[in-house]
Amino acid sequence: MTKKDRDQIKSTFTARFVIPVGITLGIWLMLTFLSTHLGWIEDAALYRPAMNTVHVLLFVVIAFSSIAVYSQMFFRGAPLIERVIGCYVTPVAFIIKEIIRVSEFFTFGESLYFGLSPYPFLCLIIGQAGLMAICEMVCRYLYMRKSVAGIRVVTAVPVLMAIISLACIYFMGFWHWGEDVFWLQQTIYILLFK
Amino acid sequence: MKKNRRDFLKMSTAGVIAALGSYSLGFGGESSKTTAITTGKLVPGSNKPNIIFILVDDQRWDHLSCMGHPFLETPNMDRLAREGVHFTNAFCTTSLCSPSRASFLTGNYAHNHGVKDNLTPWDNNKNQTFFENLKKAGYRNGFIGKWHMPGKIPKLSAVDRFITIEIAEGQGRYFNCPLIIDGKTVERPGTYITEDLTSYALDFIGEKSDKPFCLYLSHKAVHAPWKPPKELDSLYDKADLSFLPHEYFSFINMQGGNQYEGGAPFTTEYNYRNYCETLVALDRQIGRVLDDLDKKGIADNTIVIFASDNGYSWGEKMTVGKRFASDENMRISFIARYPRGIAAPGRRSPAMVLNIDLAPTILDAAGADPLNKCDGLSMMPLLRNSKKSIRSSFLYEYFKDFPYNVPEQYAVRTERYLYVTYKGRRKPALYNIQDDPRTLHNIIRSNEGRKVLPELQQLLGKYLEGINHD
Repeated sequence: MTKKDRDQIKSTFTARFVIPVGITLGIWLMLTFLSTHLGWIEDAALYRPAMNTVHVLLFVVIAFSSIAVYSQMFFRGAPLIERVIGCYVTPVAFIIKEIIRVSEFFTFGESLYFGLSPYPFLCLIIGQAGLMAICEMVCRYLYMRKSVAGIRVVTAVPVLMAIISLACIYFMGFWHWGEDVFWLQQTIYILLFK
Repeated sequence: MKKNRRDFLKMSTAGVIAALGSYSLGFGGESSKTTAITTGKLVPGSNKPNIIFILVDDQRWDHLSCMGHPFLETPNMDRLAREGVHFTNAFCTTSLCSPSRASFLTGNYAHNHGVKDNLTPWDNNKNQTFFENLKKAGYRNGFIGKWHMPGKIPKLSAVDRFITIEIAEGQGRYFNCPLIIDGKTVERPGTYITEDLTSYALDFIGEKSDKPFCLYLSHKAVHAPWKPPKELDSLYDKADLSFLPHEYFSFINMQGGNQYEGGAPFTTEYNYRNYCETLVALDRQIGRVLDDLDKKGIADNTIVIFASDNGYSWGEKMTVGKRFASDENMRISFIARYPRGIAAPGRRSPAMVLNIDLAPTILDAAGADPLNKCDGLSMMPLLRNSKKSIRSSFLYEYFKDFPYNVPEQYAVRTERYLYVTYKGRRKPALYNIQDDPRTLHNIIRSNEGRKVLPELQQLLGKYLEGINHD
């Protein structure tokens, strides 16, 4: 999408950034609260499905909400930098929350290093890049179908980004179930903190 | 008949009460029942018993069928309990693999043997294992299985046969796991680790020698990622899991802090079933060892001690794993069978015993010199039934364990109370274990709590004296 195309559909900052990002962040906050506040449900037949639903939704929101955020922002004319920042708001909020949580028992440095753990945090950060790349191409395709503007759907940068992202996630999370990367993380931890 | 968690707990409690009853009715103080140690057939001329220690990884204390588990079938562990003494009040002093393993070997708390977590290396120059004194006493020693302590696999001079695992930082793999056999890597394609280690153990037992033997058989099972052999893979697929704690749910690994515990990304139910199936596979291999001893005619003169390194939480207080001071994690299975040296076999002992008691017990039973420095106590008086108890409290310690989401902890556990202190921002907690075995209610601010707290603080302070907290 060219700057000219974007300017034609550009909404206000609130509409193109605050609303899509805010809705996602709000849903994440609500689910995070629920994830630790359903213990009052005494009936296991209700409690377990409720907890399972909340945690699956929480996972979907943290890991995949950038699909919704990116496409919303794309079609409201947000420039690339805003789209990227917008997609990272919820995952980064989750990582910061986790860093604060573990700072209860880790030092400040260790807590920051914890926030760089390959699983799940780096996977999450790198995964967002891949999702954004795929979203970019899908949105281009949808935009091209809706408008007369001739734009290239598949270009080198998003394709490369998607491939690198998937490869990194496979290596960090699925290669030997992340065992090798986990021990690499531990080795670096020993070098830095022990 | 379906059994829920309450029934399961009732059965466990009833078992313990029954054991206590029989203890007080018939067996207390009957040391004269101890039979003299006699010569084993494989070791003519020797009056020393053979020793087999079977160490299981992450087995909960109540995960044996004889403890009233709703569906788990462990006939061979049950047989050990039936023919030996089942310590139903056994604990580890640190509920983590490497420190607990070092405690079994040295008889010391983690702050003394130095393996504080899964990253601090074992110091071969500093630590003395029971193997050394057994060797001096004329034993042939074998270590087969998981060493799993940080650092390079050491050369254990007192061990004649050393077969261990290096892959995956010493955790090993259930299938096709390469072994380090006397220092050399040997590929083991087509093998299942529990069966493979047992086969090597049987070879060691069968070696011709004029010496008594001590075999340390340390299994990978039942550590995550739980993988039963094919023939057991769907054994408990339809088992009713309604007895699991109320607060568990399928995606508990997604709960903050649980992401590094074994089993992600699978559901709790899937993992728990595999855990039980893997445990059944282990039980069958224990059966192979017991049958082999029978076949060789040396069972009477062989001490078989069976224990787990730590417990495991399956959803209790929304945790999976073993890293907090709670009974689910601290309690371990601990059974000793020794037909010629145990009074009143088949009983359950409520005496408080620890992983650090293994080394002094083995040395005591073998008539070997005690370790120079040892925090543990011999359990032989309990096995001979000449004492009802050897301690009334112990120190639990858990050191910083990055990246696992757990604070450093120091706790004191008595028969009635568990007092836990944490490093960092978390406030101390006090539980009445007798009334609240699941440690759900912190009573530190209650009248009862305020009354007993000073004594427990003093006790913990005594245990912590001289500990280097760095």
